[in-house]
Amino acid sequence: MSEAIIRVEKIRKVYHRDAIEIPVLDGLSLEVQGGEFISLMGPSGSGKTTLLNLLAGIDRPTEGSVRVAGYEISRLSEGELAAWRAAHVGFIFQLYNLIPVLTAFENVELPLLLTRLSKKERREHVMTALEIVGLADRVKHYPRQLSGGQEQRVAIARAIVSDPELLLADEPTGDLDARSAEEILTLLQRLNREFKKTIVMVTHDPHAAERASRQVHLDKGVLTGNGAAALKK
Amino acid sequence: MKFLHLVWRNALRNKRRAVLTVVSISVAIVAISVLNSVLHSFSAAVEIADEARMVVRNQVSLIFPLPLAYRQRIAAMPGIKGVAAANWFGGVYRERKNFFAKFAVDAESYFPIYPEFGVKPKEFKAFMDDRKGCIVGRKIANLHDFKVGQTIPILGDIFPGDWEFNVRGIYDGLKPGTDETTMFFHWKYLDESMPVRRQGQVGFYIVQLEEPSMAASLVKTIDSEFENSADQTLTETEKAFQQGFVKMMGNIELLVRTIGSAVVFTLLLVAANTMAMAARERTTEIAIMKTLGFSGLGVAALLVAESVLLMFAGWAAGTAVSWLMCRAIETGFSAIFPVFPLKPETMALSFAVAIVTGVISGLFPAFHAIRTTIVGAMRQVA
Repeated sequence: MSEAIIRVEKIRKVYHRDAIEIPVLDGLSLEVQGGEFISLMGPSGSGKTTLLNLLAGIDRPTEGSVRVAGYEISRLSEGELAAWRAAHVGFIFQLYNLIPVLTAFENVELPLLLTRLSKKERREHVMTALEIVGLADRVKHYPRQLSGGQEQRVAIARAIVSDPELLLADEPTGDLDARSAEEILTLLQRLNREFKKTIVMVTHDPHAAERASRQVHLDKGVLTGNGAAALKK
Repeated sequence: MKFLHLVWRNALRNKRRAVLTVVSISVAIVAISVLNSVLHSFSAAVEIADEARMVVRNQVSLIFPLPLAYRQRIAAMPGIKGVAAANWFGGVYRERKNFFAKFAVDAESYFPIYPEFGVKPKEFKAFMDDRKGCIVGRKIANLHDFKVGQTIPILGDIFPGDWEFNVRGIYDGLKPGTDETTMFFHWKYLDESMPVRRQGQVGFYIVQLEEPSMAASLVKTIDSEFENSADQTLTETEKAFQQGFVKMMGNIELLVRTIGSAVVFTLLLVAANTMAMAARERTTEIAIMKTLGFSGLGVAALLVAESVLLMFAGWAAGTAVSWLMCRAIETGFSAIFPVFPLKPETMALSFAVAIVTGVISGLFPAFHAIRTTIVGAMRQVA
């Protein structure tokens, strides 16, 4: 049995809007084993994206503990979190979020600029990542010259280029047509099975969620159904 | 270095805005550079003034003459190596726009005191042999196409009348910064052409010292020698004399510095506005880069570097244009600005202004980048 790569314990997240407190996550606990591919499902406002942000260390819990890849990330400083993200997490956005003035190659290379790799080594890593996503022939294309599906594949290449153990995807197929969505899901599945990446994917789409090895449901900031059951187990 | 490409791409993201910003910056750099060159032009004569030369003039004013008889008395003083008489002539060549400086000098004594005026021996001899001969600077000769042997008409004003001079030689400056826009002719020719009551009058004396260190004591010696005369003297080093000329034009330095400060302030506003717009448009990208692992300070440094890069481009373009303008001014307005140098210190000053302005104008977006939270920026997009 592999080690838990994510261990979330009794986290609460409360946002403040003026004087009003808006609880988003309410005492949620979750454990994800290394090599798992889980989908986070739930209605809008259920706290899926908030949970994903907490796992990525781009937001902090109001209470509770978030342990990811061996680090208690809720205690890291902003600088330490940035370095930790660069080493351990690849993030895939719904809207791809590529840098428009950079080519596909340069977009994928971006996280590697933070490493000590030589130019040659960076090139090798980038080309490997682009080959995995099937876009080795699009290195010089700018995002505007790519289709939505291709842009998302470049974004996935960017997420995996530094070889992180954890991939976090926030509705990666939400802005794609059915065919492109299918390609992206197949790619994610391949990254999970072939490259042993642990993947946490937020999605509204039950069809997409079925591709995951485990589905976790959230509602009003707490786990329901399978997710809660898995935790009890 | 590996981030330079990223900085470059971001700087050119909005090409029109980048070009307009660089043009604005370069215009400001041209203004700073040319204004500074004006100062350097005025002070060029001061800078090349020889420590071993002094000027003796009438204590009342430069426009009052001194008697020719003073020459022998000054020359006889211990520590004096040479004395030459000189008069400012004024006058114009053909028409007023052709003005250039003209001095009637005691050539035999004057030129040995000014070895930086390089004249061919043959031409100098021809000049000495011709009572109406003159020697002109290379720039003036080129500007008016004066040739050796040519007779040039000069319309006198301080010394009225139609004067004619034969160009017998052309001098070249042998020292950097030497004025090549002056004409020298024989003081005797001027003196003999004057009515008797105006004869034997010298505008000022140039005195060459055996040792520059003797200047202070000789100033006192010379002035006290003529203390009880009808025409008292004011002796000063050539440098002080030239500084006096510059001061006569008013406090140009203050004016230039004031304009320069206004230009720098405007420059800062232009650059700061560009960078503020650039950063505001890129809030999402700042968040993405932070998500990828860039620290807040890292993203901030990239924004400051982008601002500095734009300023550097503006500085480079502005300096190139300034250099061309300085050459054009030196050629086209040589009578007013015999030398109009774009000095390395001016380039260093404008470079420092550009870089410091770049850093300052990059600070606001840098601060914005540090404060931008990933979640907040992403929520704005959603």
